[in-house]
Amino acid sequence: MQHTNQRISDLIKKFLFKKTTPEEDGELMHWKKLDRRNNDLLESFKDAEKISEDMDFLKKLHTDTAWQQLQLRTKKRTSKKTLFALTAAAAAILCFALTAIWFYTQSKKVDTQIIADVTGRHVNDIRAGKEQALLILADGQEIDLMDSNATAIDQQGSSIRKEGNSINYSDAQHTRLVYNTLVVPKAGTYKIALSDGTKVWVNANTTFKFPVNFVGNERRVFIDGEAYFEVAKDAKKPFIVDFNGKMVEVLGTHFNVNTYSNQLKATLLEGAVNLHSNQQSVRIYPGQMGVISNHSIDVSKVDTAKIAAWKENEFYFKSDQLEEIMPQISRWYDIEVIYDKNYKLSTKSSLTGYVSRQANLTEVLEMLSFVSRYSFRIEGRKVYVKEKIY
Amino acid sequence: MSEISKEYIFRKYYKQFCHYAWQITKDAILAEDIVQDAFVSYFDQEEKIYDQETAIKNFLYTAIRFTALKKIRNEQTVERYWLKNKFEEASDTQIEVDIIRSEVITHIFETMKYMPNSCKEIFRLGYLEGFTNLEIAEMENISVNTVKTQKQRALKILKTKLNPEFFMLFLLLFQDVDYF
Repeated sequence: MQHTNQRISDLIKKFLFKKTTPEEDGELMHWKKLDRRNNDLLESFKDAEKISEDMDFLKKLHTDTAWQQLQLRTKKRTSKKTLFALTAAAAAILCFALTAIWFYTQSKKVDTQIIADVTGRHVNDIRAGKEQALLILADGQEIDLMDSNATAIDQQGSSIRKEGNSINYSDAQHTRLVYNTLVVPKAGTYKIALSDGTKVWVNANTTFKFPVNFVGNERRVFIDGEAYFEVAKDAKKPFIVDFNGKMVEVLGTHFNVNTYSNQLKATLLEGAVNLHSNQQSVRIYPGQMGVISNHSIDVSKVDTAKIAAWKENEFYFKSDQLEEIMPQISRWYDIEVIYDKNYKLSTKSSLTGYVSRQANLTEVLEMLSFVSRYSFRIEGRKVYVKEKIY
Repeated sequence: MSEISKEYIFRKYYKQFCHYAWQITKDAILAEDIVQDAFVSYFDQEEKIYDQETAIKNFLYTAIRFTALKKIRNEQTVERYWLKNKFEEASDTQIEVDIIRSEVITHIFETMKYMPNSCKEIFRLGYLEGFTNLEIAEMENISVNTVKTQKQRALKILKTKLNPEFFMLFLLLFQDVDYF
């Protein structure tokens, strides 16, 4: 396709300067008739007024200055990275390992989510995920937060009440740390307010463990999955998000944490946060994502709107490969993705776009199919992916 | 990829990329910002992009288009779901046509910049940098009439070089110069 683009623009350039051969003229005329827009494009080169505007625009561009600006921008980032590396060794001493306790709860598969397909192209359809979660108290009591009147009294005497979509604790008089665990299954999402006023949006297939009251000199919570935090400011008590000893430490800010791929990926939208691995610490700034793996912390610039799109109830893909997209869809619709044996990984087709997470599965797949080289088939809770046959 | 070839890509395509972003956004300042952002994201994701000029160019065009559409979208009403043309694999005719236009326009611009020797300087000053005939005459230490003659010569040369069908456009561009 790009080849054609290049070919056509070369032909037009030659044509405008009378350098085309009769064969090339023919080729161009053929292309011109293929689409009205092609014809319009050629005609647009006769519109002197329009061209004049184009020239005025180009005239004001300064490639040298722009290149220097770009150099400055990239240099700044590189020197920051070097600084990170230098402070890392010193800061590593501050790091300490923590044993995290994890509660894995198998999400229950609810097949009432399979409904008739309105597009008529699939046998059945699957509804989008919704607000649902299970709260496990320190004493093992389970509260289904789908139940609008859910209440409970924990062993310490706090009463737990669900209000709207958040959980309220009252009379919480804990003098030691008492943990609750929020388990959000696949096809689920949940928003919770913590005792310090911090708001947490928890994405599908995520376990989030937090103390009912923050006792002591820090506010530490544990995550496995994905969550977006709006941390209430408290300069005296740092807020720490812990994933198997990989930590994000903040004072008060907005950020997203994702551990789906077994690394801790923290993306900052506001303020500043420190990332700690076993070996190093790094500070990241708004617009940056830090990936903490076992041995290193990598910082890169990201599109934060893309990272936090799920919280806005949107899928937002930007030059993504299908293999990056399908896991998100799989978690949100609670489906299994099966690739055809002839499917080639990382074929160079990057997909870009927005889709509401409210849409049914078929709507999302229809659109993906429309814009890509893949076709999809739903069978029960399985989605089969293969390349289209042209 | 080495720094030199990054710079090569930047210098070679900067103008046409800006033009492309400008075609979508109609905002000159925004267009330059978008192109800068696209290059930053290219440097960040360098290892993921096939190290070949066309691939890099495609990546940058896609990045530019996407950001440009996003900026427009932010200013307009957010659709209930999505719009077909905002969810794409960059194969749409309109995208191709926009890209081709940016390439051709930039080529015309560059061609005019590298005009035949004698008229080149005058043309550059007169058209590309917007100086008046009088200003050029002073700068070049020649008479205003000489400036005019040189412009006429430039025109003649162009006339033999250009497709007659499209000649009017270039003529108009030249006449514009005289109004400065």
